[in-house]
Amino acid sequence: MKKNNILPREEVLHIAKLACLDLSEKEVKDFQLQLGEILAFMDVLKELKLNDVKATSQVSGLEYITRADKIKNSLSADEAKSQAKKTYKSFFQVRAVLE
Amino acid sequence: MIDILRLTIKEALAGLRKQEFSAEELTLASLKQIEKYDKKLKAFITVCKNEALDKAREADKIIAKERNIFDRKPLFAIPYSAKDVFCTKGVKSTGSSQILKGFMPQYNATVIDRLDQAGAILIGKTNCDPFGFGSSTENSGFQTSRNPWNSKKVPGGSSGGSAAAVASGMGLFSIAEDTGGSIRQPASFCSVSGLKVSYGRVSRYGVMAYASSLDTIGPIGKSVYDLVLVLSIIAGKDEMDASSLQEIDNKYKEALSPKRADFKKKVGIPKEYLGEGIDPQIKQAVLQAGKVFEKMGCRLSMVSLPNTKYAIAAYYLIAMSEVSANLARYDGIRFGRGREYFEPEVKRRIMLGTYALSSGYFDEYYKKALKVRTLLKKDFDNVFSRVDLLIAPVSPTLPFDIGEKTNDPLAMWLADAYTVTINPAGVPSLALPCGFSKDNLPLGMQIIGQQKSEKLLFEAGTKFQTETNWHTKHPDLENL
Repeated sequence: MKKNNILPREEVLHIAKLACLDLSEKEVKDFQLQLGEILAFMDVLKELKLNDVKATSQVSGLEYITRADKIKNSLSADEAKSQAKKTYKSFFQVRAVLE
Repeated sequence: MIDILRLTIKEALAGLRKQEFSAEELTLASLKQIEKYDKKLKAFITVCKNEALDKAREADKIIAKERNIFDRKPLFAIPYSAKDVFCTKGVKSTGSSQILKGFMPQYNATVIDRLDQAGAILIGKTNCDPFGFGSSTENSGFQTSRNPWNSKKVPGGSSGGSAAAVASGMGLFSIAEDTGGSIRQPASFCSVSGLKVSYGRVSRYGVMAYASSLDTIGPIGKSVYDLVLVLSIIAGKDEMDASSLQEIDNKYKEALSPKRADFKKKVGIPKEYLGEGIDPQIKQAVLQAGKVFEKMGCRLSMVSLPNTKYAIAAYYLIAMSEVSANLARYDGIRFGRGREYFEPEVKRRIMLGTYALSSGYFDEYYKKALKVRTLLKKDFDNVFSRVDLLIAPVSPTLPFDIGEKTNDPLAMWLADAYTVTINPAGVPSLALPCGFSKDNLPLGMQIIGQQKSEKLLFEAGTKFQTETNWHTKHPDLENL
């Protein structure tokens, strides 16, 4: 956990890995301080007794909204690929994920 | 000669109908404002000059054949801008982030389609904080917009480009997005009117997601009247957005011609919004606005939203958590560039959200924030059992200097103290000009109602703008 509001370096690196972000050495140092300070600010919530309070994840009041299962026009493969850097035939090209 | 700085949508439609000016002249006047003043104001990232002029000329041909086209297409030939977070087919859409530099969407956001069908003409895409992450446009990956009232000041954010554009006559309205104040705060900083709708009122389809349970789409314009005209077009169920609401009370235009002259409503001022840290000039202006409401026939009282002090922490934890999930899509495979192109504030928000959702911290941060959200919503439910409307300041501070808060991310977040509280509850809020500081900087207030009460907000706002003339003041662009 954070000490003097500074988030430990290994924790910043762990979070960056989870978030798929390559951070520079300066960014790691900045985030140790900034995230530490921000998380300390969030501690204000510790004042509240929340055991009996239910969580609210959305406020629309809507549940299980579905649409008709009808086939409609969609983008052509060429249109769908038009913004990709690497494509092969009608596919997006990605790096191999298995050795 | 078109006085584009002052012209409202209402007046423009009347002028077009009477053929006092052509659609081409109207669009050209908006584009000329951009040419003249946007080098300084930097409100736009992309200007669609040729496309807009082609459409305007086409519109003139249609008007010549069908004089009453305006009955069928209520925003026919009205030039407007859209925040760069909206996908616009064939027009670059970057979200003001370098990661989407050059991105050309293959489809339109539903809102853009609806405005298109109503005849409105897109003149360009406006600058904002990347993906809406900020309160000043200073986090933009491209440029910092400037306040038309004082170019040393920020225009607010995240939709700062939109507000600056409307205040400067660059298009008659702008379409923007509000997750924690991104429409209301820049509207307030630039002395224009802006609406944060009830959650689900307007489709989010085709809008770059910030925090999906908080994001709302709405207009920025020169008057409440104009906002009514735009919301009438963009609101309503969209099957492409499962969270969009069925319209049950969509006769917004009725708010413009109320049956009764008096407005006998109970209006509350939340005491937590006038407390520590507020600029005394803003407090004074809001209390003065309260007197206007009394004159309109309202009964005024002080009320309390007791959990307000926890709102910023809860809001940011929820919003950042949703950010970390939403921005996982930027992988550089199907569109956009690599994640190294994210701006520092984007990385900061992804990092915080990832932390709050990560193993060991989920209960302590994210889950706790969702429980506080319940309390925040209850605060509004309780207060709206006693009053019909709330009035409050939009921002605790006046428009601040460019650079003033850029080295202190937390201080920038705290600038949102009076706006982020609204979104977790999903209620609508209408931001209006309510005065000027002694240095001639705009002061703004918001009228908050219970969920789905846009019509009542419009009625209150229209009456307020009949009693006051703050919204008819315009910046001096010659001396920027």
